[in-house]
Amino acid sequence: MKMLKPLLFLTIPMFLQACAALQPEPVKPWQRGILAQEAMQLDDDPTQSFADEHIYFSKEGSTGGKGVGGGGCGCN
Amino acid sequence: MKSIRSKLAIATCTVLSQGVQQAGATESAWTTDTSYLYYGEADDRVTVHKIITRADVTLGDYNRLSLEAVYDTVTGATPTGAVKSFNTVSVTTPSSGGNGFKTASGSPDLVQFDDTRLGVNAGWSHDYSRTFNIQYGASVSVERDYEAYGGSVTFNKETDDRMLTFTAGIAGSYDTIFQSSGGTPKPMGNVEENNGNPEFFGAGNKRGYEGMLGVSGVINRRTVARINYSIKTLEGYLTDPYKLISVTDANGIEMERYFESRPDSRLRQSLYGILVHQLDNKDVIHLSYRYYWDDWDINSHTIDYRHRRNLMNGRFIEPHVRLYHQTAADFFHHSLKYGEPLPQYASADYRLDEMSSITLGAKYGLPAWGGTLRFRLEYLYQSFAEAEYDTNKALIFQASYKKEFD
Repeated sequence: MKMLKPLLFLTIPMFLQACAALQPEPVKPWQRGILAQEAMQLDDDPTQSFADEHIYFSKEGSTGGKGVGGGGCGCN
Repeated sequence: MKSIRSKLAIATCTVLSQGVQQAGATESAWTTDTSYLYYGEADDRVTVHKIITRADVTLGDYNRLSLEAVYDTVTGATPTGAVKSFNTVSVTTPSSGGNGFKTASGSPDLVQFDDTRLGVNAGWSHDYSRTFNIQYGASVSVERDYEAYGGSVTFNKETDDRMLTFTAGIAGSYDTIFQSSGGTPKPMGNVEENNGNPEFFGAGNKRGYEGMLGVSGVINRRTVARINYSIKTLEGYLTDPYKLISVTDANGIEMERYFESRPDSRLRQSLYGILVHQLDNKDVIHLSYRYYWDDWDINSHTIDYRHRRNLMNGRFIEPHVRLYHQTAADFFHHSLKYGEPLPQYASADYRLDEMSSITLGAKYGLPAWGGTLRFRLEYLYQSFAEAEYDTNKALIFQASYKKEFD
């Protein structure tokens, strides 16, 4: 945990960016050009997400959260 | 006036004909994504080579199919949980995989292993109305010592203005676990009993039932977000048939060695949130957080941040940082004390220890051959509080190529 504490301070700018983003406004269908971009999808790289899920499932005590389903494994 | 009517008629016909052409264009569209991943741990521990192929097909206006296949080869050495003492008892360490687990020379706490895995995930997404969609999924994964089968159904309901999407999902899984030599060892059985022939049972079975509720929303023209609550219960054989735990004296010298034992049920829950936002300079950030807790007393926090910067000519670079911390399972022990009664449950598996972890890296993407090529290089560092091997360092490299076909 000692290692993480200074790193957690690095996340402060990320959260400030996130807070700045949370200004709601109605968005009409013709105003969704940016939201339709691939980079703006919640899972913009499913192949990478799938690989990461497998790595961290194999190396950590916790898993899941993004959705349901998917194959298990006996990985070490 | 006639001229205006004529122009309006032409404009209307043009718009309608474009609509027909666009509708026709969605009849069938393919996207394929093929990827190679290397995962290599320091000190000659685990090495994984993984091939992933994914295809997404749009069929008409209402159906989408997806198929994902993965093939892994896994080799190297992994900690058993036993201590590194030089005065260890002489045992035949359990084996795994095609060529089996073999005790590494001079390292009874590490076992060599070699395995392959083939997995397939299939999905079908159908739009039952403009705002209601159901996704069906099925998965199969087969190794030489592990089989997993699963199915899932996810319901998505959008509000009429499509600002919010409510999601509910359920899933079930059935896994079979056994050593490559067959069967599973008696939990908390002494590996030396019966002159080195410990008692074994048949294959273990594990059943999983999962549920999820989520909501995603469009916050503004440049921001989307999602929040999920997930719950999963596991029942059956949750022990790792290869993991061991040492019993040591006051000097830390191993006196006996046992197969580990874990509870036969586990209730896992998590809250997950993600925010995707395009900044004023058109960079895109993905920020997510997960809080996880279960009834084995493991709680964890995960923060994941990716920052994509678009470069010239369709190229991009995306630095990534992931921070993770978990508490230990309540039955995790570095080792057991000699002379004390054996507990019902005990494990020295480093993955159940208190752990801090950081992943740092970046992805680079560029257009190539009509598709997109991506390269990712990351470094994973894990630090454990009590486990015999107190760190794990790994390099991750992934190369992927994605292309769309009409």
